[in-house]
Amino acid sequence: MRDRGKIIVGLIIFVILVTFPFWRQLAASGEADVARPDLDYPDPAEVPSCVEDSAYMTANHPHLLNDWRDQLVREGVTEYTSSTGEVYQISLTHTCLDCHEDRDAFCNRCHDYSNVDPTCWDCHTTPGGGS
Amino acid sequence: MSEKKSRRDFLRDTSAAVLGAGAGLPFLATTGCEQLQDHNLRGSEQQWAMVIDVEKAKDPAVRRACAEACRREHNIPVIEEPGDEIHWIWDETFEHVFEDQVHEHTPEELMETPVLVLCNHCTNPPCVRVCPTKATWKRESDGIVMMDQHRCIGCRYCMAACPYAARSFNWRDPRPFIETDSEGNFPSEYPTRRRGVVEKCNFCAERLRDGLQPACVEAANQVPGAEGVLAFGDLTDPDSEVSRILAEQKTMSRRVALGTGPNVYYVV
Repeated sequence: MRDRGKIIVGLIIFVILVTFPFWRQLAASGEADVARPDLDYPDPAEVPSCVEDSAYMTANHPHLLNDWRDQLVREGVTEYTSSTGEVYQISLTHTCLDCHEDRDAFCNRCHDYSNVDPTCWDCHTTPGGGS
Repeated sequence: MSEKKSRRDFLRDTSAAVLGAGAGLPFLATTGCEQLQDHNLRGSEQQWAMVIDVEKAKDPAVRRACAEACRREHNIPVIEEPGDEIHWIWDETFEHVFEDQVHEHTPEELMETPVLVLCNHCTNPPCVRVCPTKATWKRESDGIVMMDQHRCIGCRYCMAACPYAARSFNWRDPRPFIETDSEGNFPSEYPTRRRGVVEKCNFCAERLRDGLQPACVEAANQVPGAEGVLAFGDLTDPDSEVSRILAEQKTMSRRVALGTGPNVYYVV
């Protein structure tokens, strides 16, 4: 038991190293809540609302788009009736991107912020056939 | 000797029991087969079909117009390397298209005649039967054999199952091989594909939705002198152009004996 001191010091260093990411996070959280990304919304004068309200779209757009995909591709349903009764064409390229014209300043900016990497743009194009 | 079983007795009794149970298995399997057949023979409410006039399609301008229109409509990459190329509509020689119709006395000229080929949108499609993810299926509303690129896992079972080699696999990212305009835009808004999925002709489902004819049909019939080379319509409608041609003229389709029920016909 002559090495008790060394062992204890070693253990303490080990525990600190292993928990380092947590300490760093704690230290960082004090200084900066990362600012929400500045998104390029369509002009409300031209486009009064999205297919559903903003809060719903922020939380559920991936699910809505997945539903649209299955309905259009697999069931041949071409129109979506929103909760307010408005009817929209089911189309990522047109219904979405005709209003959200700048994909980089809207989709990508928020996806970067939330560290998600959806594969939509591997295949889908912007209106007019842009990549 | 006590009542205890010897090792030999035990082994004999066990194998007899296993054999007995195994003999019942074929009866269990019968039910599965019936279900499968039922699923595959379900018809569609409507059936799009195409009739190709082989004589008129001898004009290379017609076949080029078809391939070109299709390429632009669906952002098809042009990959030269054999094996990697993507094709939706292309041509093969008569002897390869109708390999069960030619014989040793078939004239050389006929053997070498180029014939337009594409997905046959079979009534009983073997590709649909083998797809493990239902990424390809027969649409009940109009009989098109559809593809869902979101769901394709690239296993290529469908390619092995298709007797017409109508499907192509994206061995590489197709985007660099798609011709773009001066601003870098693709020819159309149709989604491109990604590496690792299978693709094929979709009878221009996206154009039919808007009430248009398939791109190849529209383009081919505009070639001077080739009007009527491709006819397209609904087979379940007795008054449609395709039904009329099939009723009046001598037509054939590919490898009928396989029972796939191809819906692309040829006037020969």
